[in-house]
Amino acid sequence: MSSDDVAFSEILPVGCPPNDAIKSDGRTAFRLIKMNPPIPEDFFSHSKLAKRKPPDVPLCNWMSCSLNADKVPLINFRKMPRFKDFKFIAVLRLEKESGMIKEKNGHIDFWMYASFNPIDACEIESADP
Amino acid sequence: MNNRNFLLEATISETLLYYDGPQLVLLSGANGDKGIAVAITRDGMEYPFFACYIHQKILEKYLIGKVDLYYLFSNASSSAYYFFDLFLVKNDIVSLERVSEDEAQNKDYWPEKGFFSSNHSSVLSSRTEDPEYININGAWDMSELSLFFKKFSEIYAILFIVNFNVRKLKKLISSRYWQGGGSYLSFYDSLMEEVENSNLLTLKSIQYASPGKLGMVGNTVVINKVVDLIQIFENHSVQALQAYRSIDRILNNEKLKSSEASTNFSSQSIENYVKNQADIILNALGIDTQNNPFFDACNCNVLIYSKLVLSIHRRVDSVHNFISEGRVQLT
Repeated sequence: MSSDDVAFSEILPVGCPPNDAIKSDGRTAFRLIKMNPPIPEDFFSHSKLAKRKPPDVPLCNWMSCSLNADKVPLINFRKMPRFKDFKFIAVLRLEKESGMIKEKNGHIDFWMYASFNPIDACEIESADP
Repeated sequence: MNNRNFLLEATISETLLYYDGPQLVLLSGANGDKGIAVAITRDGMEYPFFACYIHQKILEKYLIGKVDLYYLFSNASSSAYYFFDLFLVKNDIVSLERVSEDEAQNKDYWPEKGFFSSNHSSVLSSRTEDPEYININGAWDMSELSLFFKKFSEIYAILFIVNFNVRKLKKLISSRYWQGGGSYLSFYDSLMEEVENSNLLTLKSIQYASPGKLGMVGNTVVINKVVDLIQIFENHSVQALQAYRSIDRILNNEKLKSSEASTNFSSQSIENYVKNQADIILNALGIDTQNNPFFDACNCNVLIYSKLVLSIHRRVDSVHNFISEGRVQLT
């Protein structure tokens, strides 16, 4: 629970999101997904998918949904072994009511509010160049 | 720990791509050898990676965008490949398991061609405290030393940002008026502020003699990129100067030097010509203009692009003048 007493989609540990995370501000962000139409699990964090966290990965990052500030890098991520089957990109419109974000070098950690439904807030595009 | 196990351990020195967990990491072997590893899917492992060791020179080429990730794996040292499980990492140390020759050919484990370092989510801090030296000769006064280092630093800053944070470059360019004078100076000042502290270029030592040397500390990959760029320019400075003068003349004639970014050229053919001349200048610096991050960062605005390229040329030319005078040797 943040200082604003807004419920996140998962119970986050103390200090998560970090102090330098901000409310999303009407920006667009992008996420690779496998299928069209998307399902809620496409936007779950690893934690919410009940995947065990490797020891050296911070828990707060493990509990975020990875987004990207630009579409082009995601198209290139599909050249990585784990993302070859991700054929679509969800284009998300993130408002203040969507959640908290922290961007670094194009990667965005997104901690969404419980009230936010990413499927309603996205459009789906092909991830082909 | 027996010797065999020791050889099969590596340290994760950097996560290069993080997206839903680490996807690409840099490894350091016991002897300082460098390795690279991509996250894969494989039965029996929780968070498997496919890894190989690579020659330092090839890694540097990858980090400056000269070769892709597939090339790294194709040039693995001793053609040896390994698995490790990130879930078993302890203090950044992983145990490597040698992959059989047959299994190493499984294309499910390999990145596809065309993934370059510009897609990384982290800036590699290749800073070492060992200086990169530049040989100097002849007589210098302090203002000349200061000018040389300032221009070198400005080239370093723009190459750093364009390689590691092109989005930031785009923002900085769009926030400027590009109407001459101070706007260029403040642009480069802002660029240098954007270089993370861990990668700042600093002048560590001045051995003032004839010959002497300047010791610079910063991101070694980018320092070498600046040196490469100036050396390439040395062989193409005449073409670059002709292109510079052509653009300068047109911007004067069209009264575009102090005009707003949205101002149009008088015709499409002149705009095309200016774009082509700006490309010639970048080519003279060894920068590929087929996939041109500078043009993209200018939102494909030819007027801004041409002004940016002219500003780069002035800085490279300023450094190159010291070489022409025989007072600097880049080796």
